[in-house]
Amino acid sequence: MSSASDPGSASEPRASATEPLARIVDGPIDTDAVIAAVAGHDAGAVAVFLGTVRETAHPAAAAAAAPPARRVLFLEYEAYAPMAEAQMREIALALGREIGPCRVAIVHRVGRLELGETSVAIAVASAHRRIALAACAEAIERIKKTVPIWKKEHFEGGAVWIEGDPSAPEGRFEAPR
Amino acid sequence: MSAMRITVLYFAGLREKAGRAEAVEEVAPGTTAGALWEALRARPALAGAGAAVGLAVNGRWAGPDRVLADGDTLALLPPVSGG
Repeated sequence: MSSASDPGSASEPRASATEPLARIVDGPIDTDAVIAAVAGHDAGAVAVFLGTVRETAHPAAAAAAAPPARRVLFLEYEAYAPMAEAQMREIALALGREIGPCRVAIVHRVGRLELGETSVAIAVASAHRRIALAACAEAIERIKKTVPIWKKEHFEGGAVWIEGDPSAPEGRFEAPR
Repeated sequence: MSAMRITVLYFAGLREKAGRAEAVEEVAPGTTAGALWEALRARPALAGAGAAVGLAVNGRWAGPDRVLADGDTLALLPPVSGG
């Protein structure tokens, strides 16, 4: 796993170009470990994205509703974990093919998350910053469209499951044989 | 031919509506993923469940025309909202 040039011990998770780190976890995300999973002396850049729990309601829900935006108390995430991990892995591998050589680590948390907590952490290491930044940005877009994870917003007086864009995203269905 | 046993997984709002996360359904050979979902959402517990539900067979996105096989797992996936 860990080579002499890699930081961290062999017990820490590592991502490679062919074997990305893709995990669903039910506790706080160790963002340092996510970054360490992709770091290496061949990297010229590590781009990081953190999704965090926001206090104001989902924009789509707020736009459709006449009442003022809801104040979120906490979020609850649920995943179809084995499929979610497989989808995140496929996204990571596709980014390497489509954008450029990179190592990708994606960790998404499920369960109850408080305001400000990190729901998803993505780290992309590449020799070049443009690849790292572009792959990181594209990763979160694809995660939001194709990975089976759902969030439930709990607010004062109720709770609602948030549904994403129902239009079938490209690449979501099996390729025709 | 004997009936096929399909494990159906429910998630998020659908899970709450159905009142369960998992159930085994017996269907006729040749049944498609889409046909089973249509049959399930015709039940009172799932009345009004969204047509936008996505389908996955054995952990991979599948189109409604996917023909199920005995022992398959069909997951019913509301529009995803992770991130």
